[in-house]
Amino acid sequence: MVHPPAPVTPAAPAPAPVTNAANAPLTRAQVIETADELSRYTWVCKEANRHAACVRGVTYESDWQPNQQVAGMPYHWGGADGREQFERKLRAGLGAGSHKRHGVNGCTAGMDCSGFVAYCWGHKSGHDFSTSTFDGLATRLTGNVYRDLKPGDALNKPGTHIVLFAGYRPDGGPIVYEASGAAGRVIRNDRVTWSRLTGYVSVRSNRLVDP
Amino acid sequence: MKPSGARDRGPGLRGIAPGTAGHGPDCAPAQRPGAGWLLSAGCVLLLAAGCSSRETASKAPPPAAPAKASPLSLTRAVTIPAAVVADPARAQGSPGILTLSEGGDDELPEGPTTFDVLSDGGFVIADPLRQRLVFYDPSGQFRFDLLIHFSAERVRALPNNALSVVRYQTGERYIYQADSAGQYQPPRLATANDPDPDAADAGVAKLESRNLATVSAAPSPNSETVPVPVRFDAVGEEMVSVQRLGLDARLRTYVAIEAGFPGERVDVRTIVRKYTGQGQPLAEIADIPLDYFAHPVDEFRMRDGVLYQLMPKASEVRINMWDTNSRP
Repeated sequence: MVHPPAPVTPAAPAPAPVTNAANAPLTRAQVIETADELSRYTWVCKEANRHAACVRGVTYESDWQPNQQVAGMPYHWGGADGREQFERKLRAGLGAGSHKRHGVNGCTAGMDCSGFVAYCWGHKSGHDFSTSTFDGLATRLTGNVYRDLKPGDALNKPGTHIVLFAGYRPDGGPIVYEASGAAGRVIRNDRVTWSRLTGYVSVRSNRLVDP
Repeated sequence: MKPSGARDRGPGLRGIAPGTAGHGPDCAPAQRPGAGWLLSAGCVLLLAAGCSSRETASKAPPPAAPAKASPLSLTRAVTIPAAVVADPARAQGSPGILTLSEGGDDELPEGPTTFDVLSDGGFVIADPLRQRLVFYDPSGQFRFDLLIHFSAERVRALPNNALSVVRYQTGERYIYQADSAGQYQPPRLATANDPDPDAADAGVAKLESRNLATVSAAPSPNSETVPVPVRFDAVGEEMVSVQRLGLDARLRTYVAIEAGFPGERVDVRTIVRKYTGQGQPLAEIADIPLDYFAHPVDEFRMRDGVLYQLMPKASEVRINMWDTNSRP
């Protein structure tokens, strides 16, 4: 008995990859757009946002004046608030920004350096990374840091600070976006020198689709 | 002479907050005796901005001079006391002590960000953690402080003892003018007509390759500028940035070069050179320390042929000085 050949059934299409906020692919343009938006983000500091009731033992001095319009998401040590979350906290009367001396607290809002870079790289839920634990979401680069970086890469000094690289200036120096404690907010920094970044290493998000 | 706002004038006069500023000609400062150098400095700034001169006759860059600049060593240093404090708002002690924060755990240390050299060789240094400017004499002795109620990112001394101060938290630039008694008036926002020494000094700098850059004064409709070629040759090392620090009254151009070996980690050294208008290197300063505790925004100032470096350390702020006038 000859059996007819088994019917050929077309292969089922591979299931579409599940994308979510934790692993969605990202382009360099998106990274820079997010960083730029955060550096230009305009908000108004109300009197209530100049105080932080839960900060104890150290003076909380706001970086801002009452009703001052500010460009740039406030620097908040330990924070990773996106715009919506920040605005909710502002409306709730939380303090706008804080520094390490104010400790980790629940009564101020904004983002710090690692929260900022992680947010630009698409990690927008919570502050899961520090400059010491970026290995989980980035790859260390091996090229020449002075020539080979691309916009959207980052320069990291574990335990200290991280900045998002945006390009090289005509004079050879880097252009970076950073959540700066000194500036009290997210800024685009066109004046940083390489010497200020001594000891930083270049890293690249694992989620970039145009590495 | 202590301007208004000075610490020993009482709490009501210590600080001048922006936003209470007057505007217009009533804020114009009176001419002060003994400010002749300021006119010279102003002239330097105008030259830096592109005043015509015999050394700015052609747009074509001259050929790079093969001669090597002669090396210069540190001339002297001034030490100003500083302290790391946990709560800057409650910092106690002498007002002459500058303030730093500890940093660590994903936060950079903060401290004096910027400075400038005054007409008599004294210094004004920003103390952003205490929202003030602090004035010292040429030996580093405290004179007075001026509460400005914000963190200064940049400060520059202007003619007639005026100050240009950029607010770190907003980027706004304010002008503090001194009256005939030397007292600082409430600030006003700077306009396009106010001199901007930072822009004039920076001019235009371009890194052409790993061993060649050009720097020139900012373009001006009234004059032509000659790019000064900057060459850097060292085995294995490359020039990674170039910064124009300014021009002196003899039309010497000062340039800061950052150089490093190619690699994945940032590690550079900084060299400052003095050039003639034709690009002839006259002097080179290569022993510049970079071990800042808190890296300032403005590392260098050039005034009358002397390079000044602001170096915040954990327990002191050093101002290092290299006098290039022996290589005119």
